Amino acid sequence: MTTKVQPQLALQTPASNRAPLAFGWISSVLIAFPMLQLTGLLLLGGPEALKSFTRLRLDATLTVWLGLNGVFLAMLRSGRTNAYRRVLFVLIALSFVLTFIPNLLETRDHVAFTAGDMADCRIPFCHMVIPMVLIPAAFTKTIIFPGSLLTGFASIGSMVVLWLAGSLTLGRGWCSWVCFFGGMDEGCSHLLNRPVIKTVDRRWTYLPLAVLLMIMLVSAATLSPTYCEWLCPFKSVTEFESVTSTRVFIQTVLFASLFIGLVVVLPIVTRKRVQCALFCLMGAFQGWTNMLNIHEIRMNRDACTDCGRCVTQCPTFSLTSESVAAGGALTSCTKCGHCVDACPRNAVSFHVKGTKLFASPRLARVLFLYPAFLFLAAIGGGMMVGALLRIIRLVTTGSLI
Amino acid sequence: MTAIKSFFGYSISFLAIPLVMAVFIGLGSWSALLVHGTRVRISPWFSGGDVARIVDHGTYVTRIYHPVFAGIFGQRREGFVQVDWSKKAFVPAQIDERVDLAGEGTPGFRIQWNTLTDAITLTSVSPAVIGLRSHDTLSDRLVVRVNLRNASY
Repeated sequence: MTTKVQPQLALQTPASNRAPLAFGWISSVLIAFPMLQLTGLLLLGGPEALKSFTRLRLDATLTVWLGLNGVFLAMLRSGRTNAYRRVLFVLIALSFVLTFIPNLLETRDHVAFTAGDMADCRIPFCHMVIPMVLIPAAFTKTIIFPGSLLTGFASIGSMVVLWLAGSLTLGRGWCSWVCFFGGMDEGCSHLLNRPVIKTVDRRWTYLPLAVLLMIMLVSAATLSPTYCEWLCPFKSVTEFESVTSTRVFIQTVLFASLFIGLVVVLPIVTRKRVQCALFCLMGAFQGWTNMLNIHEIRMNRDACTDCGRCVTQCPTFSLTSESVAAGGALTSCTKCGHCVDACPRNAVSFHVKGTKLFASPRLARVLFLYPAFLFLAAIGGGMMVGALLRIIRLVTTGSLI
Repeated sequence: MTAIKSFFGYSISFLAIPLVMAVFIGLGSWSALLVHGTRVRISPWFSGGDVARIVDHGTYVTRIYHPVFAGIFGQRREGFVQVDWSKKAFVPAQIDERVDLAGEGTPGFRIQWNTLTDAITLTSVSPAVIGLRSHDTLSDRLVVRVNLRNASY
């Protein structure tokens, strides 16, 4: 079974497509107003928090806050989701790298971590580790990661709480709205207008489940985070162990190769989020949370003409002709909204489980967008502020740190 | 029935908004609640485990940890023990210490570590000692890990 990517279908969404999900100016402003307040609370804090802001930090935060809310307003006004989300998602990924590495340099003087940093349990935790720590945590009540449970930058406790809340409210929407790595391959997947590799065998979509199963079992058996140690492509742009042995050298070569292959080259040539869709164990794990989550993507079979545009444009292989015929997406759907934007017949929409199908697609979309955008703004907004401050520092002093 | 399902669907969907706000505003408290509630700890394979004994040398202390053999089920054939030195006033540049693993007055191994040249020598006394696993100079202490055979295996 194969999916043929048809570049001729990758057209601009027709203007008529926007109408059903778009709001008028007044409605858009009214719906966006609570978001302005909520994101203001999350990014700026209360009056006490504001006192600790420097003038520059306040300006940067206000800029990001207004920018984010401008994008949210545009989402509501235009009825388009993915086109705006994607821009923010890529910016957040870039901001993450731009803040994470200078932060490491400031806090511990080096990017590559040492055996000492591990012995001191000072390695920042990320959500990608979560599937690996669950089995050992259940059996031994210990976390197999050399990080901090509660203190310091990116503590294990805070990341797990965010993941639980994200899974509950967004399901695998986490992968398109929260994950600060996903924007890297999403950005690369849009560098070419047309895919070079037009056919991807569907059997590859089973790979992430195999990776997840293997890594979870090996991590439990060895009591070490195997994916982090050997297979995480994002080590290349975050942190990795100092090369002091042949083993670490091989690991470093693997990280770089996987990053170049899965995050840069393959997304460029396929126009798909290859790392997210085919190799990310966290993504595969999040698919299960989609079953619990209240939001889903549904196809109106009465309006659908089976043109296949949604199937060919889905960046994570989450739609097949069979799933479309059944009226929904696969559990791997990241709720990016690409198919909703792309459908020329407005047959694809966000849906709240349990409610009448296609009764109120605008309401269902807004009810998904609110928690999703709050997550994006709260996690990504801070990174964007940090990146903006780093850029200003680079311009004014010639140094990022 | 359809109306009830719709009501619950939209209600749950709407409740996600205050949930997200509550999570971000109280992130520190929720994290502490999760960690303390589940009583999870960092795996001793990374943290070194719990301190078994502290030897006070006046200007510095030696902490000898419990050997780590923990596996996912039961114990492993091999593991390690961590020993670290931290200052009260200062830690000598040349460490030379016989480490009593079991606390029975019999040294398990001897560590000679010149911290200026980073030259380190491990001398096994106990047959359980396999060799040096790692040695690191941290901001507040010097840490050595020594590979061990599990005597009770």
